[in-house]
Amino acid sequence: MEARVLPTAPDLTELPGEDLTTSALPEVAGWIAIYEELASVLRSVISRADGSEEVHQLRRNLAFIEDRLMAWRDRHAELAGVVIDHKDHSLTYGGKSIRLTRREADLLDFLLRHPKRPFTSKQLATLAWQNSRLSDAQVRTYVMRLRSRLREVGLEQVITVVRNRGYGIAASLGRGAE
Amino acid sequence: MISPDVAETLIGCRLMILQSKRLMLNSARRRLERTDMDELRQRVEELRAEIDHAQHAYRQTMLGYGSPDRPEYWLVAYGRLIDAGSALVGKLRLAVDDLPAVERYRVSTDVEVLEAIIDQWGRSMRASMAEAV
Repeated sequence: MEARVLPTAPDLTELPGEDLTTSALPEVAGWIAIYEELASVLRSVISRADGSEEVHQLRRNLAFIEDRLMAWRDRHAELAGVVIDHKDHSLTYGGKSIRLTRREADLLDFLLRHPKRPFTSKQLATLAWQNSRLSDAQVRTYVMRLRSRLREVGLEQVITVVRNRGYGIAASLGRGAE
Repeated sequence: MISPDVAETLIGCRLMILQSKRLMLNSARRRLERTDMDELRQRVEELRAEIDHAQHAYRQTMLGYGSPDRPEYWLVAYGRLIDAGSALVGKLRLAVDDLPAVERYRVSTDVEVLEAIIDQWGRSMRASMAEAV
């Protein structure tokens, strides 16, 4: 899953006195959560009712919801100021850059794209890496290693551990060291 | 995967629980109108929370195991979509004034399209309702 960053909106949207740098990060994270919920209900209904008349329309609705979900995930990553280059698995934040492994880059990208939600080790193995054979201990090791790498760019607190629920992204993440 | 018979029984049970809770709430509210007691008021609040829980359980069961051939399935499906969609529109609307221009433009467009989609879900839900009667 590639972190696609939307181009900045054209200048014509800027009005005199307008502050375009205001971070809408918490709001965007909240919208993403509800868009995800909508997409998940739609997917479930479509899969159960495939072939019925209603499904054609619902597929179109789902296409719109998924498009917006993708766009807001990109915007969230943009606001967070974290840039992941999937070609060389490098991470840039606050003017600093580090090289990650492919697994680390995929994990961070996945978590950034699903803010405000904790994921269990099993979910991360399947959703971030499409590898359900990884054990909880292996996932924990990857997460801890990534956290330690993130310390190098000042993002040590970004991955949070939610007791009994898994790992997530800190709500306070924002453009750093600008 | 459970058999259709078991699914129907499960859905029926969840629906009965929901309806019973609603009846209990109505009765408690009528009693509360006659005698304003703290204990009763607290019971009404508890019952409201229990109804929310029962409604959620019924919807989940219907969405997970109900047959799309039944209009009740679509009532629940559209109801669930409308609730989530309306919650999203509400959040987007609340935030829009405080947002910078970049987000404001995107959010306004989202709201407009989402409202049209929710309207369409509402029409489909009413059609299912008419079919269910």
